[in-house]
Amino acid sequence: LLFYVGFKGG
Amino acid sequence: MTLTPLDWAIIGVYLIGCVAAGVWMKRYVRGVEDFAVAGREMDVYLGVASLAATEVGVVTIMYTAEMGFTNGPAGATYGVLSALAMFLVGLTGFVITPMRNAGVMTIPELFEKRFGVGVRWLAGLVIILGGVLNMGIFLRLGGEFLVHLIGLPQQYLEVTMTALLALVLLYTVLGGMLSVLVTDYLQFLVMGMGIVITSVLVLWHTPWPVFTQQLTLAHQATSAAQEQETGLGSLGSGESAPSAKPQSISATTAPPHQAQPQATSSAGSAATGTAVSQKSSETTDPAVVKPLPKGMKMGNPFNPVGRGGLGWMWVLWQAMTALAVVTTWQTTIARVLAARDSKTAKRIYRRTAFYFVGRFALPGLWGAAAFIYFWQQGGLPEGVDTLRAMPRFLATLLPMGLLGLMVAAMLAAEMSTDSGYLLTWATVIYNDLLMPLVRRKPSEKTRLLIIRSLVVLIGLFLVFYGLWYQLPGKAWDYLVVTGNIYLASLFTLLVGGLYWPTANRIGATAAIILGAVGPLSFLIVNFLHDWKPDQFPWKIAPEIAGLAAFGCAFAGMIVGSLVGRLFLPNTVGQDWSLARKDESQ
Repeated sequence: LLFYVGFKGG
Repeated sequence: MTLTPLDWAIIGVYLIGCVAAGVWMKRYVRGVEDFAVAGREMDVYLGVASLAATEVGVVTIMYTAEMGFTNGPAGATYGVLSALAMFLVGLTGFVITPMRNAGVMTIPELFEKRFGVGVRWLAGLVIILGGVLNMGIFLRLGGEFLVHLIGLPQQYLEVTMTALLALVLLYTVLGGMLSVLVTDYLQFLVMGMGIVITSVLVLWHTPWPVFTQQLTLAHQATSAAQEQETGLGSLGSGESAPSAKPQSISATTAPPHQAQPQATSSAGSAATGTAVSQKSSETTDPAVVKPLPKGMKMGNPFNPVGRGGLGWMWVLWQAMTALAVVTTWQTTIARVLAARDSKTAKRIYRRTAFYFVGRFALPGLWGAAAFIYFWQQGGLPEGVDTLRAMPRFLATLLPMGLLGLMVAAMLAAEMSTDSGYLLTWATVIYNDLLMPLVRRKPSEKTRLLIIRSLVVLIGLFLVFYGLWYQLPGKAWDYLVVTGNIYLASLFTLLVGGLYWPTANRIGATAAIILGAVGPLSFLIVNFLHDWKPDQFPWKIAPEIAGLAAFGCAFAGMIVGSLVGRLFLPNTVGQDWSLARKDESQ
């Protein structure tokens, strides 16, 4: 989630 | 453990970046809807980050670690239950779909459409009572974490936490939910890094085979000690004698790496000496041959309903609480109401669900590892109890740089929770307690000023109540009981109001009052017992009070509505078409 939500959320 | 310049640099970069991003969002706030629900512009992954960051605070990490310290991984049972509840609600849209479709800003606003303004006001009052009291212990526990993690002098706790709250207030007052969403996103990333790295370090320090073996032995030692103290008769009917024998835990003259197979076989543990590496067995063996120090007990570490576990009643109560929290807890629901539509809200729930397992299981892992560490050390140091053991353990574990990251992660957890909660409770006071009393709607500018002032006032209340209040018992019990003041009654109102056409305002009022009786009677009876145990020999178990609250609330709703049907025949069958009509206009 750090990377996935990090990218998508940004 | 003191912070190095590298640690300070990590903390400084995080704080400056976070506050700057929060203040930047002020430019988009044009009215109360932007301030309270981010103009309903929130999409799925920002929602996942915000929901996860808000519901994982330092207080969460402290009490979940305490559950791990006293019950091992089984202490994370609530995490599994809440993940299941969240996933099922996200799958079915139970409660959250009609609530988002109603286009309201708070839960009580929904009640006005169904039960009238009186029920809305009463529900708002109960939410504030339960919610603000619940939040009361956040600041102190956040400060305690820093005291034990980095050795912050106790006299600086209040001023440090007040300064941290001032930073949170700065961006929350200026940007409202828009600032909260952006800072939550940054805090989600920092917090996630800290949690992952710490969990890996803990498992490296205490490998899983050693972890399970030691917790099993600790539970057997606890059972044996209880058996010696109270005799077999008090263990409960139909339960077999413990497999651990006290002498198997007593001191032996054999060297540690030889003592382990002998001790484990005589204690009946499933773990064997061969399952543990030479290095780890040498570092953890002393615990095998040491009796449990005073004040340290381990419940059933894997089976919450097994012998010495938390019990079926407790699990049932937690399951009810989990379902009520994901449908009723205003800070969680605030993300549903800020979502672009009900479909987005459901996706946010489904994708956040498993995060809630880790919310309990990972700090619980740290807490259980702290138990093993302090068992080896011969007991908890002076001034450290079950709640504060985990940060003290981490202080011995984390190296330079990672300590700074962990402090930044915990500051992120504290700030994201504080900002979300401050905004939510201020919105409820503004929307459900003040606005229904005002005859003429004030201008947008005045309304923004009112809601911003309320955020500051709740912040001030937190400083005075939160930093000077001393917690009487387990943090989790305090949080669940104060939360239950409103969870049981409002959950009943939502389910009855949305899915039972006969529900009416008399049933709703009865549910609110009776739902608060269970938690309040728990607080009063247990206070009297602690005050004069000779005159008041009875105590109420928290699970009994919690389940009674749900039972009373549902009984109040059903009986009250059926009685009310005689006096309010015109309300029967009224449904949410009114609310949906409002949204389409």
